[in-house]
Amino acid sequence: MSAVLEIADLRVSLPVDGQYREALHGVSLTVAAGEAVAVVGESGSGKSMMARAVIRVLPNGSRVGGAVRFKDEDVYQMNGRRLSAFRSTGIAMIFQDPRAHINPVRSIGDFLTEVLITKQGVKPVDARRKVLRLLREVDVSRPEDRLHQYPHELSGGLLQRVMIAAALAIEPKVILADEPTTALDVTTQSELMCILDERRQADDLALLLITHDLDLSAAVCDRTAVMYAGRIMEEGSSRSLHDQPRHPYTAALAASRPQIANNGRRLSVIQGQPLSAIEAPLGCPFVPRCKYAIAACRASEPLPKVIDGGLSACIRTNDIRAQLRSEGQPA
Amino acid sequence: MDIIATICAVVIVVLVFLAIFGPWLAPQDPNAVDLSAAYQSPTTGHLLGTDSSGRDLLSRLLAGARPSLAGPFLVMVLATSLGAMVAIASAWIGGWFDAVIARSLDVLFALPGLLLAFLAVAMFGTGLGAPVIALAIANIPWVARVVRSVAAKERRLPYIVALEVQGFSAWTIAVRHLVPNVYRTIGAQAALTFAYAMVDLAAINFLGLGVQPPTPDWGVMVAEGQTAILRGSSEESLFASAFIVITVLAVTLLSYRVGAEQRGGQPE
Amino acid sequence: MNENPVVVADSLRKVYRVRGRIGRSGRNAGLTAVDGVSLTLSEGESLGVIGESGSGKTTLALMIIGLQTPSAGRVEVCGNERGRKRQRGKRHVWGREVQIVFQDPYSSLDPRQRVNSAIEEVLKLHFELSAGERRKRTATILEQVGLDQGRGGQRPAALSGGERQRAAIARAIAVEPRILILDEAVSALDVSIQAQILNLLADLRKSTGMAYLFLSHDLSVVRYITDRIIVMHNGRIVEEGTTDQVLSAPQQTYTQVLLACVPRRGWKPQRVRQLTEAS
Repeated sequence: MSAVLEIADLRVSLPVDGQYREALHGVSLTVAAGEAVAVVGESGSGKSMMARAVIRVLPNGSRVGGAVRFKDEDVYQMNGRRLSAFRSTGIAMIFQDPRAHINPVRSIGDFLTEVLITKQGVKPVDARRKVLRLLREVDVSRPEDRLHQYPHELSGGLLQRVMIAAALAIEPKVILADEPTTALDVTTQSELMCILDERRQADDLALLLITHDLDLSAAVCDRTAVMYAGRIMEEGSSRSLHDQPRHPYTAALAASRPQIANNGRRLSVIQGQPLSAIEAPLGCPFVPRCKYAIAACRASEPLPKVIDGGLSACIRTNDIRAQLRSEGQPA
Repeated sequence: MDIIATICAVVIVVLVFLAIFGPWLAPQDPNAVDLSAAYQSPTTGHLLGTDSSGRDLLSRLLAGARPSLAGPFLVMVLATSLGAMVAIASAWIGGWFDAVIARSLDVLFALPGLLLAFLAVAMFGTGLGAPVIALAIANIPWVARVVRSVAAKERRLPYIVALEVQGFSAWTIAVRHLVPNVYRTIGAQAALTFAYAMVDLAAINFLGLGVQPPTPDWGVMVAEGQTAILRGSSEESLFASAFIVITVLAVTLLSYRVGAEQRGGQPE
Repeated sequence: MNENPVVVADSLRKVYRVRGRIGRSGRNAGLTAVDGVSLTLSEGESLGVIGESGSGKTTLALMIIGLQTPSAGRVEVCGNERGRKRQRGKRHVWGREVQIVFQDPYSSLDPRQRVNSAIEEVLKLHFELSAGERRKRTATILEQVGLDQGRGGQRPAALSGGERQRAAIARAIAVEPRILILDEAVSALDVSIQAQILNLLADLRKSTGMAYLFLSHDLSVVRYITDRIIVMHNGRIVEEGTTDQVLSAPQQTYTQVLLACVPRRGWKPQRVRQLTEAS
């Protein structure tokens, strides 16, 4: 499998009080066609910054290092026309808050067909037919009526279905979903993830899912990368992250989430609060919260190492693997 | 540092200083008539020249700060305090009370301030009192509308609800928590009201319906300067207008800055 | 376990009048947010109210606090009825009985007030204490919720989300209420912070004997923090029982579907239609 989307040593610096500070600290990740990859992290981890960097919509004044390649073409080397083509046919994005990303005074029909008609040169009649088919596919009831409705007339869950239909309409190679179901009910979440999963398999789409939910990522993604303070701490098959974590942060994150299946056991807690890359100390950024930290962890920044078919940015992985494994297990 | 805001603030401090100490700063008696020295251009004796009666212009401008600024200040205080009170009560109580207040404000909106002021002058005679009260009433809805919308949004925030659940009285919550959190909006509206009132009162004084000569008011001076313009010396009207324009500009610009900060946005 | 009830709700109903147009769905008579809900919360018990958005759980909580008047039915808290009409002066008494913590840590504190002063203000309202005693009490409460003294002197803007939520809890428990309503109180927090607050809540209940009414859409969290559960759907109770019963062997289709949608090990997302047909 060759990667459709390749993020290579991506660094993003933002001006903070007149000085450039790194918000993304050398992130590398690939997504192949038909593959689903999750990026899991808490606030400040840089996961949303990474998503914005991928489609090249960063705050003014940001500096970018490294590369984002879409089908071997660097997104940051594209000229205006190529970039526009990349955004309108190559990649589609689904956001956490659909209401903030849809023009409130345009009808749903206009919104859905706009890119098809203006960017892909589809005839309005054909665009309408295609959009109706997609709305049916994402289980929107009465799709013909919906085309004439406006965003405020639709519930959050329904609007997110519309956003997914819009994303699918351009027949992208990659879908970038940033917390697409966080604001929704679990039943709606289950449905939407199911739809995305089906489309991914049917159309050989690459899915990059950004979420805070380790359980969700494990359920719908083949591989998961765990981010902390603007870098990837661990990457591996989603299943291994739960059963055989390589990094103390992953293990602690999994153990601190209450499980529906087991009751009574006190939650193990990660002390302190998540840091952003800008606040992170020298050395490993997780040191202040890590129970396995030793002096060497503060000395230099650990680089991701291949361990057991995955990556871990922890110098102690091999010493503490057994302890990490037992941490996540139900008592 | 916001340079424009700083300049505005300095101008306003100077104006306040003039309003308080103006009469004592005046180098000469602002009302001393010397017909032999009428229509003089700036000289060492009269730094800004003299008017049609030979009165020293600089002295009149400085002494005029107090009457010129006092009127708008009173309008601002009255309109803002009444408007904010009505607005916060309306936002707090809501329901039918809110609806009645909203409709009443709509009626007030329909009355132009200047017209109301002329009416008041017609009924109660010339002077500062009648126009000030009329303009204050006319400005209430402008203050109330903006403050109401901000206060209504604030009122629904969980911290206000939590205070209600704690058992604090509505009065306590409004005075100690709600108002301090919307004071920037109130301040910005107050400043705008001052600016509008300044222009309106200058117009009323220009027409001779407000402050009466020989009191050195800037609006009155613009009117009196008209005869001088015909004789080729435009200093009096020009300087008096400049003072009015600078005051209005400083106050308005500062209010926009303050308001923008409240909304968390960048001033344009 | 109902020997000493602190909240008794009987056939509560709340209909909101709906102004203006409501799309094409044809509803215009009003929106029934809560429809005939009866429940009992016993002293020291932790009762979970599970429901998705629009299930009516927040309206139910507002009626129990006394911020909303029921359209029908009655609710008693600590033996006092929460009224049909405005009851001036009662809020002060009610405040000692029931307190609430909201979801959004960013808007639940007065942005201009330091945490210390927020707590002292509450103590001043409800207790006759000297200034020195108040300060001491405030320090104790901050310690109880795991905030150091230094953080207590800060304004909310200087605090992280987790610290703000601790401060909101501190303010709520300062009056030593008998009931604490937690309205999605951990839903907006990061996973690692959520665990800290959940443990804090578990400890506080043990040390104070407060009863919890825990409103949440998150079944895993409810499982962790509650003894008994009510499942709400469209304003009605569809199922209730002990947490273990309901979440291990749900009887109603709705609860089963809800449970089947919670991501966990070995779970795959499914369409709800398939789930309903399967059960």
